[in-house]
Amino acid sequence: MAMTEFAIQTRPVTVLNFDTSMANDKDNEAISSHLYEEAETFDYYSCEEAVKRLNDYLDHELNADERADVVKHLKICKPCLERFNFEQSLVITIKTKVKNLCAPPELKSRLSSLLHRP
Amino acid sequence: MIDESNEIEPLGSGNPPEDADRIPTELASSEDEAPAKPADPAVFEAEMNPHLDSLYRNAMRLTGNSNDAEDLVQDTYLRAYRFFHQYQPGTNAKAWLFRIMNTVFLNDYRKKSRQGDQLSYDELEDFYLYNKLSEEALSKEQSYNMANPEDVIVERLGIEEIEDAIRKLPGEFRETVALATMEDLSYQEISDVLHIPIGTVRSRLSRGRKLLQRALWQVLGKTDPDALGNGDD
Ligand SMILES: [Zn+2]
Repeated sequence: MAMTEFAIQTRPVTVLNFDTSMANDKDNEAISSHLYEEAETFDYYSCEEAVKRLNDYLDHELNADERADVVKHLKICKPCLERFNFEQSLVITIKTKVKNLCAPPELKSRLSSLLHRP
Repeated sequence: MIDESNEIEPLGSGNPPEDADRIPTELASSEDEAPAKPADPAVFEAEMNPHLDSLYRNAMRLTGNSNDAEDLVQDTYLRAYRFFHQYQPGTNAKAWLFRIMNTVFLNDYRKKSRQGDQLSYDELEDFYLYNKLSEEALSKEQSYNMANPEDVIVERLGIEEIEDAIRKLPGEFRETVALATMEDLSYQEISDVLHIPIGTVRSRLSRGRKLLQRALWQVLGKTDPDALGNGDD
């Protein structure tokens, strides 16, 4: 795919072979609210740094500075930009489509009568 | 003497089940903290009924069938009504309801529920679905009119496929992924609902969304020999 358009394309390979150690429950039990205190050390050229923040980015859990860091990477890295956009569409698609499943009307009226019974 | 500041009920007496640490303590046992005077049904309904569809969807994901889901919604709803005095107006009512549902489910339903299919945990690659769809598009030599992976999922992912894929996830991943992806709960709210640390919310999401993408690829009718084994290309 069109990776040549971008001059700054330091290590596109890391996009696909990202270390998954982050996904280990046990390792992360102790970590609480902010994973990224060292935001000032964010390496804008590192796909890995950006990908690490993918879920927080998608779920609006990053603060303004943290989000700006990720966006800065996306502006210089087309492969990540495409992938982040895809992930965002996927989340939005899922969110939108599942909303079509509703509680059955009979259940709703049953709940109502249970609440209003004498 | 009743200490009015204490809204947390102790877990019932007796031997704790093997994973008692996962069972939240509040709202867990008997009825005796319900107020003598029931809440105004109209006030309760105004606050809670907007979330009934979300509750039902969550119950479907937890129980896997509509009969149990309806029962679980009903139990949750009535319990919420009884404990409505503990609800703090202005906080997220949906998260509060989910927390009660999770408690009711763990206490009364879990034994009946089926497990998700086992999925391999290793070699979970990032952007799995994107990569697969891109590979597919390339292999079809649609170089001029290459299907955009985003369009593909919007077109081909229906509610059935999504729910099927979610059902394939192991329970702890299913809940976390669903609450973040489908129900718009914040990580803090998910942490409260499931009684897990925020770090665990993050790690389950990270792993769970990768598992979800594999499952989506499967339910889209793709049989990928690597999907359940090592994904090493
Ligand atoms: Zn990148």
